[in-house]
Amino acid sequence: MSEPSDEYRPGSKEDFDRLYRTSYPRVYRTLAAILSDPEAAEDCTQDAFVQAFQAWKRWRPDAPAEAWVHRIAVNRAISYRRSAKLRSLGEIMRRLGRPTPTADPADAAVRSDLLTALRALPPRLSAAIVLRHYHGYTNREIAAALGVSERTVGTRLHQAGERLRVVLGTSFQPGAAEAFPSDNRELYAKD
Amino acid sequence: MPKTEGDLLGRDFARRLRAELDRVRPRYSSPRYTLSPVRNPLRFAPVALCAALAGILALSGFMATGSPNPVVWTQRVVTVIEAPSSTGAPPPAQDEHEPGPAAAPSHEAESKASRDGSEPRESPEAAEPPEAAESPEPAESPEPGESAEPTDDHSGSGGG
Repeated sequence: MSEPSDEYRPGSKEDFDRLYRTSYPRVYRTLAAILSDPEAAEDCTQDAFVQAFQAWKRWRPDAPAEAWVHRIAVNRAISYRRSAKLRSLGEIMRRLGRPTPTADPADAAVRSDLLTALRALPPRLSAAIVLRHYHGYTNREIAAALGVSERTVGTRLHQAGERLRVVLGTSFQPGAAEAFPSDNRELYAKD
Repeated sequence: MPKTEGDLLGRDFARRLRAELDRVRPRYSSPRYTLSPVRNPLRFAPVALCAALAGILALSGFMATGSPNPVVWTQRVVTVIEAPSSTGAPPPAQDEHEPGPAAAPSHEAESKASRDGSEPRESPEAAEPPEAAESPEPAESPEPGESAEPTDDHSGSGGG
């Protein structure tokens, strides 16, 4: 976590500005691992901060502020992906018989196998992976961020790990558990 | 020993994930939350005021006319508004006829009759006498007169 939650006062505009400056890049990168469209990631991140700002007076300092914003942002990304799936179906129906548009070379340059595999996962699984391995959240913090139990977080992390291993294949070699700093704190769900 | 997802993915996973996501440059735009309108508790005040006014108008209309029909209310309003203007400049026709409540229907009948092209002074009562003249009774009436005279002659004037 970036900052202790007790440094933020609910309803304080200055504190929310500080939370925005600190958390915006981190929340954006979380959504960048869920959504393939950078504009969509930006939109959802901005929307999440708008929703958080509107509820800022009701925020309780017992939960980390950034985890709270992450929760809003991940839910927003899930809604976006759901609606995008419907839109893509409509696009397919409209483009039947027409030539398929070519991909943007700029997008291909920044695309990686790992991010592509993460974006192919269900959003809740990819969010758990990013919160754990990129942001360094504990299972408890991920549970608070996603609004689920710690056991559910462990299950999601395990499912995500299995799926990524299947998708990435030989890109990753099995290694020692101590390579993950988070493993020193707690174990995930058992098989 | 149970496997973690770290065992499944390998030791390079976290490092590579950090490297990939650190390459992602966040797109910065102006914070939208600063542009979002602050929820004003009085934002529905104009709507509530209009609804209250409409309710008061409806209630007063119902109280004044006794009818829940808004058309009746508007007719009542038109009547009330036109009444002062008519009393301020009374038309000269009201001087010829005796002003009264009963005169109003006759004015309406006159105007209607004038639109139809008939005589304005004609009334349903004046149209009745021709119907009485067509009846057979006036033809029979001279007979008793004629029969009476001979009876007078026979009674004694002729004899003495």
